[in-house]
Amino acid sequence: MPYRAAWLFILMKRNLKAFVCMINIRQVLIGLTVLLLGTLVYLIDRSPDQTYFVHKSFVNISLHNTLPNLFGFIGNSLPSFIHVFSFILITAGLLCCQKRGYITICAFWFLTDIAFELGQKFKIFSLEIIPDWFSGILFLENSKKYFLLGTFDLNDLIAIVFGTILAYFALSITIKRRET
Amino acid sequence: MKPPKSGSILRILRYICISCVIVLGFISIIGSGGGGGDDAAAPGVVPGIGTVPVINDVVLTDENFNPKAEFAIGDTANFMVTATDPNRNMEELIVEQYFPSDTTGNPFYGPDVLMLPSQSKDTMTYMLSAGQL
Repeated sequence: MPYRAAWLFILMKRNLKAFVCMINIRQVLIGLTVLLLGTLVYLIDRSPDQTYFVHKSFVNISLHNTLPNLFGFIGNSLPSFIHVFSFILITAGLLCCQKRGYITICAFWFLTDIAFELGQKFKIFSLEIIPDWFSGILFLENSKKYFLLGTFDLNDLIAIVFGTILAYFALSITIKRRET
Repeated sequence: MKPPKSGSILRILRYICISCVIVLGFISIIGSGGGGGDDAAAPGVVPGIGTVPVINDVVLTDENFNPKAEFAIGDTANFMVTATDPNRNMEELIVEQYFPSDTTGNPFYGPDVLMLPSQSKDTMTYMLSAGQL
């Protein structure tokens, strides 16, 4: 029995090592770190009533009014920047692709974030395309409120553009060259 | 039947991770905004028309827009109305006046229509003068 456990442990360790070799761990870690930083905006700077995740959490995780505001006016558009930046890095890191793939990933997350931001401007159109059955599903139940109560901001669009450019730059620096 | 190679399992694992990241990316956008507050605070939507405005607050004031609850005969009453319409197309407010002591439910004045200035924000506070009626 102990032999079997040891064998399983070695196999898992070897697979984990192989998995880490298949991905670009640096890009994934940068993406996750920046994403973690982004959550601080919602935990510290914003009232819990403004955020679905914080409001719905089982324990009170909000530090709003407990700690002083960390990000000031930057906190308004920082989440838009951080979301596009970190998800580009995490996706690219997991795919471990080359420059052509990076452009596709950047375009995918850029268009996704822009679409959601524009959805807040054209509220009625957004609300009409959201199916009613979303209201019964965890997380998706907030989609109507996201568009209805969210505010379209030009600064958010600029933050998304800036985040995408910076993410592509970060990917170019941390690229894992394929051995020939 | 040959067991799957370790490389192919890892590749599947990688694609599962990427799918999870994409789903998480979408969920994090939806969950990050819109607020999780009181459901009643969210205005309803009429297809083809837009959002239904919600009146959040009405405050009776004196002629200088200081809140006031009681008025004597001959006093001028103004009022402040805070209303939300994400569609930003609130144009008119329908007003009726009632005597507090009246139990019949009939207004002693109105209904009358007050034209509202153009909406520049989702939530607006209108300072309305009784003279407009």
